[in-house]
Amino acid sequence: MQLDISNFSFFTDGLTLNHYLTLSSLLFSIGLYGIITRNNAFRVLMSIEVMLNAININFVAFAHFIDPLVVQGQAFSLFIMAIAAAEAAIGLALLLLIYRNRVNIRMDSFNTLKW
Amino acid sequence: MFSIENAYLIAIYPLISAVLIMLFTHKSRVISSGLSIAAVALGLAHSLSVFFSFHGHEAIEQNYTWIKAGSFHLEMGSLIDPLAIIMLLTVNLVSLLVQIYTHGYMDEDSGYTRFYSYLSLFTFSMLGLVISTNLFQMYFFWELVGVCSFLLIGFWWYKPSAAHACKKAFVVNRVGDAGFLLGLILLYYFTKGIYENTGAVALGFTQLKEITMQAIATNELAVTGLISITTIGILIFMGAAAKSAQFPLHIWLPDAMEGPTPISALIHAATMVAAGVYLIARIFPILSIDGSQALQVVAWVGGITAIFAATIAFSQNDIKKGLAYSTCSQLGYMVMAAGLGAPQIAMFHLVTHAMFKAMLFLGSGSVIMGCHHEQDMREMGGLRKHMPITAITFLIGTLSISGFPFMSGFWSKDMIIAKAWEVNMPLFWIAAITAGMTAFYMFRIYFMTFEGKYRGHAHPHEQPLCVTGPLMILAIPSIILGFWGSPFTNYKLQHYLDHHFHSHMEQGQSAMEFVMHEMSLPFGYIPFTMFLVGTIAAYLIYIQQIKIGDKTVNEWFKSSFAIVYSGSSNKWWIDEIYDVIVAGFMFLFRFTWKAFEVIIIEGFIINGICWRGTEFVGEVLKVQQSGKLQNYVLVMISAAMLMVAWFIYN
Repeated sequence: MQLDISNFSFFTDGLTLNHYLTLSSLLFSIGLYGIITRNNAFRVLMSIEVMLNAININFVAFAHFIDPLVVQGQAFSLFIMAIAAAEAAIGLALLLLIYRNRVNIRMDSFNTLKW
Repeated sequence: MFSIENAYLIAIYPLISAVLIMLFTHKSRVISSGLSIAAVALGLAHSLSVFFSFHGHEAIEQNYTWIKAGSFHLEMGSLIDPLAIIMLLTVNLVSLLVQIYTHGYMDEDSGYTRFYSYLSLFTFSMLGLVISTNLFQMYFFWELVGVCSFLLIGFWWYKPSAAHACKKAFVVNRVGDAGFLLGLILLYYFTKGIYENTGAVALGFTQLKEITMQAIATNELAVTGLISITTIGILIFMGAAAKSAQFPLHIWLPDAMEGPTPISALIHAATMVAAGVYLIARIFPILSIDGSQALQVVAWVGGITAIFAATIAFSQNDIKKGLAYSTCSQLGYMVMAAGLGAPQIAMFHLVTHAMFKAMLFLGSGSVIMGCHHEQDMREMGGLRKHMPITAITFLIGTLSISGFPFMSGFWSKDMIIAKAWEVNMPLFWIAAITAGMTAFYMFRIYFMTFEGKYRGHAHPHEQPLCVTGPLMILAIPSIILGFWGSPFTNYKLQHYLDHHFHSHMEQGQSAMEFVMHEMSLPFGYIPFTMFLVGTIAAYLIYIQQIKIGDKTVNEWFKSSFAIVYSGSSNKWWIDEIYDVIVAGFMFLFRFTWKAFEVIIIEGFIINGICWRGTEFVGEVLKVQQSGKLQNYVLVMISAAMLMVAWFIYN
């Protein structure tokens, strides 16, 4: 059975590509802000996830509006989700190790790269 | 013609033996010395065949490209003309005899094979210099003989005196060579258009005069002035003066006696020091260009050296030092002869001097060995009874150098004095007085060493045949070689060297009549009288030991003319004067060093800009290396943003 995307008109009515891109850049900026300002490494990790999802929205939106008959961007976003999951696993493992060394996971205590 | 066309081989033989000894055979004394002697013997045979197959007076030249860049080109090759042939024979003969002698002299030395390899290398360099076709090639080999001289003076490098002497020789020669190089670069600079356009051998000897005259004719090169053919001649002569130990660059030669005695005979008496005279003879065509003042300088430097070195030779107690100053003085004669416009006579004296001075040095080496390495003549005396062959050959050499009639030195030296009579009266008197002084100091050496009673504590003994053999062989040319250039053969040697040579002899006059006639003229009898005076004075002082009052002449002289005596025995303080001059320069350099190096370079640039400046910039910039990842992210993102903004708004 062929999937008819036009049936989801309730969500898409009146929305243009610009709306999606705006949403995406807002999410990206929120993630960036989180990365730069949060002191807790967990939050930084979560912010990275938010940024990755902003990218996903970009992919899907462009795919939908530019070439709706071919499923390309959607496939990419699936890959990104998979990679994000892997990255989150590694990131959490790193955090665990850092915690064992430093007893906390505050970003400002990771300063061994200092001059 | 094979031998002439392949004359470069004469220089190649010793090079091959030097390389073979250094690389392969240095473990075997027999093979090394055999190779070295065989190479130079082959060279001598080849030179003889060149001599006998060379007819006429035209130079035969072979050139091979050495360096080529665009129209600039330098050549190397072999130039065979009478001048080169005479030198080839002299160098090969003396080198052969010295190498045979070395076997006896260096037998107990651990550096025996090394010595032979250096000897071969030196022979190669000297022969390469002799067959040079142009000034650049000559300069190349000129430096090579300098290096060999350095290596051989410093052969016993573990003696501090030898190490200092070889450094001194090298540095003093550097001074002269700087002038030589400057002179030939200047000469090339003014004539390079001609060489590059015509493809003629750059600074080749055969066309040197024509091409220089062309440059003068087109007003590219002045005859007198600050940069002119005169100064170029004097600059090139500086190189010759340093090599030939001319005043004031003579100071290295007496110190060079620290080297083994065969070296003193080969390099510092017969061949290398004569290279300067050979160079003057080679560039004589440009020295003698009309209007050039260079020859005046050459003649006076030679004359001053001749008498100056003779005064020092009076008071030397080291037998080799005495002979060294004698060499210096005789080289002064040669340079003076060339400066007076007679390079043939200079070459004549060079050849005869090479024979008898090599013999004298080898004889002194024999004496030194016989007295168990004692060089001080006050510890010798009476050696004639113990070492008869050495004594007789030494006496022959002494007579020859002093100008005893009909010996080699008589002809060549008197011809120089006669030339001075014709050309330059003050130099005639200098040369004539020097002749008397030569007789005096040579007989002083002979009497102190061989006559009277033995004053030392060793047991002197005669040397084996490989030492006395070369002495006896060299005694023959020391006696008869002079006839080759004498009126008895109608100046055959001078004619051979230069077919424009003019004889004083009148038509139909026999040689003996001519000699008797010459002897009745002042330039004939004055040098002879001087010889007699010098010899008799030496006899009275050193054999009869006549007294003035209750003192011997020596003691009387030392007390009455203390300043003169100490001047002579201290070499007229030339070394000390050099020290003062060098110290003055060192002060100047130290001042400049303080002002420029310490304050500007080190204070301002190195410690200022480089150290403090870098430190300051680092202190400022290191703040951004906070170690906080979030800072880095911020910088990274900001930069990316700025780039995006730049792309958008541009």
